[in-house]
Amino acid sequence: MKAITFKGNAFEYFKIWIVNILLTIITLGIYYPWAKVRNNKYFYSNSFFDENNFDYHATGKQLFIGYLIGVVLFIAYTIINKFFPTIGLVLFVLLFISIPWLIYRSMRFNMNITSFSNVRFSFDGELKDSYIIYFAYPLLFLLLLASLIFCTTFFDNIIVVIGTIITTLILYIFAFAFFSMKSTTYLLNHSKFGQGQFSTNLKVSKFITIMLKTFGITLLSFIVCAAICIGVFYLFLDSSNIINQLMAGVNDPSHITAIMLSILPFFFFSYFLLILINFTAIAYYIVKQREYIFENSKLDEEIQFESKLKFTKLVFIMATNMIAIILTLGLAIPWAKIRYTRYMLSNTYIKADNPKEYISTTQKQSAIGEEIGDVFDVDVAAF
Amino acid sequence: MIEGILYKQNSTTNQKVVLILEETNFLIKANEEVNFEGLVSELIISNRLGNTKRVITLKNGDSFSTFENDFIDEHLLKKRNLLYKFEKNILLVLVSIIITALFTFSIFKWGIPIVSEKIAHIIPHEANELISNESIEFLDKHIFTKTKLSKETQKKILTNFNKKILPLIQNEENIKYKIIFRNWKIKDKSIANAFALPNGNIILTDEFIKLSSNQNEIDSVILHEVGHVYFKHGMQRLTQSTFTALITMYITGDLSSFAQIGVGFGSLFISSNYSRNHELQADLYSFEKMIEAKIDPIHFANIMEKLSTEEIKDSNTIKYLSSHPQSQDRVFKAKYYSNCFNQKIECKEI
Repeated sequence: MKAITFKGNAFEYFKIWIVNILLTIITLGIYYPWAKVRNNKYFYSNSFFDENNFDYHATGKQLFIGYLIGVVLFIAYTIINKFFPTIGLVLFVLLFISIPWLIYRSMRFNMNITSFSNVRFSFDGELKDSYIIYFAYPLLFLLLLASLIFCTTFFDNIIVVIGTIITTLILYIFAFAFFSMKSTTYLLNHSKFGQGQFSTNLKVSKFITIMLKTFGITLLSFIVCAAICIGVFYLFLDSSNIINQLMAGVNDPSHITAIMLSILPFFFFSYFLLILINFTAIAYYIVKQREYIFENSKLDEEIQFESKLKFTKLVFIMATNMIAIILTLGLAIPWAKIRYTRYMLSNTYIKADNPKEYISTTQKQSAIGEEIGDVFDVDVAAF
Repeated sequence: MIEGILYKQNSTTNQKVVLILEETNFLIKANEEVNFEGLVSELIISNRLGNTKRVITLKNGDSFSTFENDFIDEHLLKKRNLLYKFEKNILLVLVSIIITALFTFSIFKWGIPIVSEKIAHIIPHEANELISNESIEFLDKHIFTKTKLSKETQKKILTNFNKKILPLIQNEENIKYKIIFRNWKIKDKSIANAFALPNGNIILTDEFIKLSSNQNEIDSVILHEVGHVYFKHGMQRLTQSTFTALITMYITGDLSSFAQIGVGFGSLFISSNYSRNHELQADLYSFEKMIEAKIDPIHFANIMEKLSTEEIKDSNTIKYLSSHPQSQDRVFKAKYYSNCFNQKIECKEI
């Protein structure tokens, strides 16, 4: 078992990053695809396994057309949505319909422009399956949910309402677990490295367990944070006094302003705790799911993977990254990204005893789907 | 001479080799045996990116990759890579940070308002009609109910509007100004408000008319709303929010989601700043027209004070906190113009 090493350097990346932003701004956004290429290439080609590195082969020119279409659609969508909400809704439905296509295209493109040790990855999934997973399943879930809520409206009973809420929650957890399992299986089982085939064998029950645990941890940390918030509120702020003062100050604006300002730090504190809960949930989910997917996936039935991320360490990295970014007004973004990537990759292990030679058989892919999706922030769950 | 790895085309098969330069020719040797040779000018060399591995593609499709970036830049390239030079130069990078900060600031501060003002005036008036008709249809369906004002009150306001206000504004552009009365209720509470649609329709709510003590107060607010139509603030806000969203996307394009929280706060602040400037501009328009019509601008101060105390009574404190300094400032300006009006002197802009 050997880990992937990441040789990116925060200062070196900072310089690339700032030049990218500068050029993007002064070209009014036209440079964006080229900036993206330089950015991705930096991360890919600094990732090494056994002295061989990954590489990113897209060119700015390839990405440009799709990007242009994306921007035009985005502007049209914003304008129409503002003035004609009804048509905006139709557009939203159209976007919903096109998401499976965008995912399919961007998977094909992204795998094709990625190489390791001079050999390209590829994706040979079918569009039909993409529609089943990213359109039919979510639609089915929404219909189920809608009919459940519709049925509940006939009863005017508190027990029925509580029952519905619990059923919805269970339905949601099951649906999400099922969806994640199907999606990961689709993406992995159709990915190739050269002529080598990735394969994975995932069980929905394990995904449900992970979801339930994530839910439990979120609930637990929420209770803890709420207790801290209430404690702080009673210890440091005299609540009855504040309410009285607020009542007394109704006709004196400066008075109210002063009171509001005195509570402000408390609001920020609570908000920060909320974000922390969010990170906790995300980190736990990433760590556990990644661990399970990696240990059940293989390349060519012989090369194995393992993820050794630690949940607490990941929460720590996410939280400190956020604090650094806020305190430096964004200048710490490159450092934060390098740090996060290094942690993720150095805990990705690959077991290849007698690696055979791989040869890639590639054909060119158009980047249109990938870039439209990029503008609308459609992203495939990374595995 | 540099060391590197030679990969067979599209294959993981590789071996350690050295590349030797002999004037315009090069040799690739593995274990002292010549593996490949050719002209330097036939090589395809990838762009430099920090100190990442450089890939040189040979004529037969095989590729030679190496970390010896400086050697390649010096001996194999005809011209150095401009981007890399830029990224390497510390002074230039520092300058980039400053320029980026200044540029972003100026785009938000001046660029977006100026461009959206231009765009708002270029867009044909038909677009305003279309948007306004759609809006009023929506508002009538979901927000407003029919006015409960007496026919008499309505007629009084309309006659005054036609006789006194329209002559002041009619000659400026081909917009048809029109007063519309509506009732606006949230739960059991009537809302006092006035606003303009881009096509020149000015909506006054019943509660607003009740709140006003005299015709001059109503006129001052109508003129303020006309100001919004005249400067095409509706269209400007639309273009502004589109641009803000786009630029935010560029900057956050490769950000992880947690940094976007901060950016969200930023754009909220920016858009409230834009709408504040619009209010001030419309106020100024109203004051000037009032003076022209011999109406004391103090009436605007009076109605504003009434509207904002109305707001305190029932809206939540946080919303109040954000809007209050502004209305205080606006009342102050109205009083300043009223002062000029009474002393019959020309007011300087403040």
